[in-house]
Parts: sequence; structure tokens; C-alpha cells
Amino acid sequence: MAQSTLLSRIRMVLWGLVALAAVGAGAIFMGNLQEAARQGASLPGASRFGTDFVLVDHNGEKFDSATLKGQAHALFFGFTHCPDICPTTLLEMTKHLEALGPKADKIKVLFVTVDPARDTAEQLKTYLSAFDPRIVGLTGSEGDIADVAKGYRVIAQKVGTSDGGYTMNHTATVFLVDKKGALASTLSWQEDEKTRQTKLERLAERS
Amino acid sequence: MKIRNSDSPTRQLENTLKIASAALILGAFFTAPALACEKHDHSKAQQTKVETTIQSTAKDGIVVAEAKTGHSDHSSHGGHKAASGTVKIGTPWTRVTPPGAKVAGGFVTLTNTGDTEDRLIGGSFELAGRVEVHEMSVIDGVMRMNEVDGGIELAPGATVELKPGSYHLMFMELKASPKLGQPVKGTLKFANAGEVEVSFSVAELGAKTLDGKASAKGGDHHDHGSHGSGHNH
Repeated sequence: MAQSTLLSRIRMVLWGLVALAAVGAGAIFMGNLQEAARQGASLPGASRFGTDFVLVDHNGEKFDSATLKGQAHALFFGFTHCPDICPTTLLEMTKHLEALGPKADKIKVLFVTVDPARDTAEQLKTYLSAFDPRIVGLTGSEGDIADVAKGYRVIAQKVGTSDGGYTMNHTATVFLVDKKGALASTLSWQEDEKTRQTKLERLAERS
Repeated sequence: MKIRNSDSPTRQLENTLKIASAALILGAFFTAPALACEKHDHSKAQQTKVETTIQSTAKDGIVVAEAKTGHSDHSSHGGHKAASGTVKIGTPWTRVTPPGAKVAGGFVTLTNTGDTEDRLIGGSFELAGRVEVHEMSVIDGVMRMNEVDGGIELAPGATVELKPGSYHLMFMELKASPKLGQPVKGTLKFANAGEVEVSFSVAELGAKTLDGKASAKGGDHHDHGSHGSGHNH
């Protein structure tokens, strides 16, 4: 039975190769996924992102999301009674648009208030005057804003302050939506500037 | 996997190879998703860990004192070293706000050099109707803002940094926007050390530190060379 001992050895070696191949395949698979994520490829299962809406822009004009058909855009939520993340995000978007140069025209930037009671079109216009003029501020009725927030699955909650006023907790993620209306990627303020810029470049190039 | 009794060694070899190739294919199929899963879970776990760290940093707000206390010696901005009781106060600062803004954040590094606990419970700002002590955090992409009940704890020997994205003084009911380079008078109110007069230096819109330009993003990533020259469109 010397031959079958030899065969069983061969089998063991083969099993070892099986394990190696599996690990290798797994690593390649993960690598591809990560590369895709890094490049801001469309996330699986994300077809049409968000919801249709009709709001009012900072000039007091009606803004219908139908105008976003075929238009890549960056959309995020905030409010003007926000000391930190909202002005910072607006400033970052301003810098990103500048760095994009002519490609910036391919991406519409939308800032939707989560605090329509205080953020009138006029207030938005004043506030946004410190940033890139291409950034569009959007407001509406409390109900309209609630619907949009729900449609984009964002959190927007009032938090009372001791003087009887309030501030807002809200999703601060910037959604990057491609021209087909699919979620292409997101920007986080915890990422470094270069990463965000790369994602925007890619969105512009694909549009 | 038992090999059935076969007549010829060639047959046996053939069987072995068959099993091996089947196993190879099966192995690749099952292991790859399993690995992917494992990796995924791993990154999730890592993420949670990072968040916990951020949260606890925000909660305790304690930073290594040695490096940070040096900040208070910056005098280029008309730096102001107020000391009352046992709290060492770095240069308080705020930022230019967008027009029409009704709120602003106030930042400062505080070191309790005494032996007893103190608390930062409030303050005042010449351009603001009210000042509250707030904590901001971003967890799972959601920005949360809360008034800190009872103020910020200053344990003996501890340094607490009020900075963008963390603890800050919330200047509310702003009457005017702070102007770049024009310090604004105010106070810091401590439970034990009392009310201390300070002057808030004014940094540019969106600045992450008093000295840092707004474009030198994210004090955490020292990646200053990453932008600028690369984009010549």
C-alpha cells in the first residue's frame, strides 16, 4: 500500500493548496471591493437615491428636484444656527469647487436646512453670501423639510436649550449623487481634504 | 472523504485529483465570502472602537497636558494669559461667522494647576446675548450638540481643550459677527475660580485652530502638502 500512502500525501498537499487558493481568492475579492469603494464606485443596491421634492431656494424661487435629472450633485443638510459643522462644511465645499475648476460646473451643490422655521430663503441668502455663489440653499415648510429628511433617511432632531431655544442634531454627511440619481459616495468632515477632493473629482469626471 | 476500493492505482490517482479539484472550487467559493465577512466584521469592530475613542475623548476632553499647555504661550495673536485661582487659561479664540449667523463657537485650552477640582460653567461674550457650555460630536455621520450639564470638569492637573468638533462655548443671540483680528472681550466662569475676564482672538471663518488657516484642515491629519499645488485647472 505504498502507493496509497503516497496518494494520501499528495492529497494533503492538495488540500494545503486549496486552503492557500481560498485565502488568495478572498484577499483579491476584498481588495477589489475596497478599491471600488475607494474610487467612489456606485454602492451595490443603490439605484435611485433620496426622494423627489419641491422646495424654495435661497433666492425665493421654487426648486424642483426634477431639475436634478441627469445632473450630478452633492447634497447635505444643516442649518444656520450651527456654530461649527455647517459653516465648516460650506467652506470646505467652497474650496473644493474652487479646486475643481471648470469641472465644478458638473456638480450642483445643495444645502438643505433642517431648521426651516428660522432659515427663511432670505436668511439662507445672507448666510450663503460668505460661500461659493454656486451653492444652492433650500428651505420649505416644516412638512416639506420633514419629507425630504425622511426621503434621504437623515436625522434632524430639535434639542432644547436652557433658555427655551433649540439647536438641531442632524446628519452631517454630504451625499454625492451621480447623474443617474444613484448614491456614488459620501463625504465626511472627519476625512482629510484630499480624500474628499478625490471623490468630488471622480464624480465630476463620471458626469 | 473515503476513497472507495478501486482496482487500479491510476483510478485511485484520478479520484484523488477529482476530489482535490472539487475541493479547490468549493473551497474558493465558501472561503472567499467567509473571509470577506470576517474582514467586514473586523472593520466594523474597528470603526466602533474608533467611535468609542472619539466619544470618550469628547467626554473626558482630557489631552496630554505637556504639549498643549505650550499653546498658551503663543503671543502672536495678542495672546492673553489670564490666571485666576488655579486654572491656567490659554488664548481664548473664536472665528469669523458667515453673515447673518446667530451663533458662534468659543474655544480655549484650560489647565487646572491646583489640587481641587474646578468646573467651567459658563462665560460671557461681548457680541452675544447668551453663552452656554456645549459639547459637539459626530457619531455615525450625525452631528449632535448638547449643553453640558453642570459644566466641564477640570480635574486637578488636567488640561481640557475646547476646540472645533468637541467642547465649546456656544455664543448665542449674536449681535454682530466677530471680525478677523479684532479681539472680543468676554469672561470665563468657573465654579471655584470665579469669573475671569478674557479676550477672544478672532480667527478666520472655518479655522480649526487659532493659528491654523481654515484650509489646513483636520488638526488630526497633518497632511498639509496634500492640497494646493496639485490642482492647477
